[in-house]
Amino acid sequence: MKWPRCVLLLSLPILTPSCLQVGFGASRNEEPVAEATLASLHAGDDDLATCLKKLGAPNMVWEYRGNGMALGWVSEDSTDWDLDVSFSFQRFASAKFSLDWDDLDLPGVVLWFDASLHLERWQKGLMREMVQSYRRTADVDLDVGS
Amino acid sequence: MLRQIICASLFSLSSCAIGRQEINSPIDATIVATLKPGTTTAKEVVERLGAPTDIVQLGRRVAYRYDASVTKSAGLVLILFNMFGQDTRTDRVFVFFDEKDVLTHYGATFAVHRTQYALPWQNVHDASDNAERDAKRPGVNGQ
Repeated sequence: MKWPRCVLLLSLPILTPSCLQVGFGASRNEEPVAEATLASLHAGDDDLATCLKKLGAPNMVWEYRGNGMALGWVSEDSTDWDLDVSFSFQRFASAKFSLDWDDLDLPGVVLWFDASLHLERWQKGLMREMVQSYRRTADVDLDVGS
Repeated sequence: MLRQIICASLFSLSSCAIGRQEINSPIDATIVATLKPGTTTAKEVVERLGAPTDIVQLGRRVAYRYDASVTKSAGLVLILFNMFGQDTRTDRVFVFFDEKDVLTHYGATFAVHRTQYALPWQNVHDASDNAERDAKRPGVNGQ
């Protein structure tokens, strides 16, 4: 092989990343609540104490109907691909395109307790949908009183 | 020959990466075991566990959250194609108090010791491995 061609081939892996990079990642956060544990939950019979014993500490807690509460457990076991394409078309000028297939809808379980702390109901699904009503609907006005 | 050079150059430029991030110190499970619903007060909980990371008002009741987390990351950099795996596990304790600041309930999960370095295709956290790690941590029994 001629020397210039060899240099070109060896430098290719160094130069190419400035144009194209593919990434694959896995993210694992917490452990999901076991199906058997969920199957053992009985609305009306179980209370806060028995549920905490079965499921452990929740990831989040909200107020529910005055003196009731909602407890949420969330986990993540996802993989995603990402693609980065960049190009330097002039000195001090470059363009970059990045595409990420990450899914941020995390699965979880929410348990609702009434004012006497008995289990009212529970639901398994996407946290974004289940806790939608607990989101702040508007930004806090920090200029009040000024 | 050409293929060998390309392959050799790709692998000679590849690298591995690992990272570890900790937030707060792991919660002492033996201290949590001393909490007694009906008698322990909020003052005593704070004396034993320190300041909570969050306080949630729940009508007349209030809940304190304690947490700690460990994240371990592992990556394989092959220049054009890169792979990363990230694993996060947390210790969490939620303590619930009535309007008189007396402990009524608590829930605890201890898992920071289960965090592992793993690449995307590796299957970690099987039950036997978790049990083995739990056995080595004082105060944790099959959480």
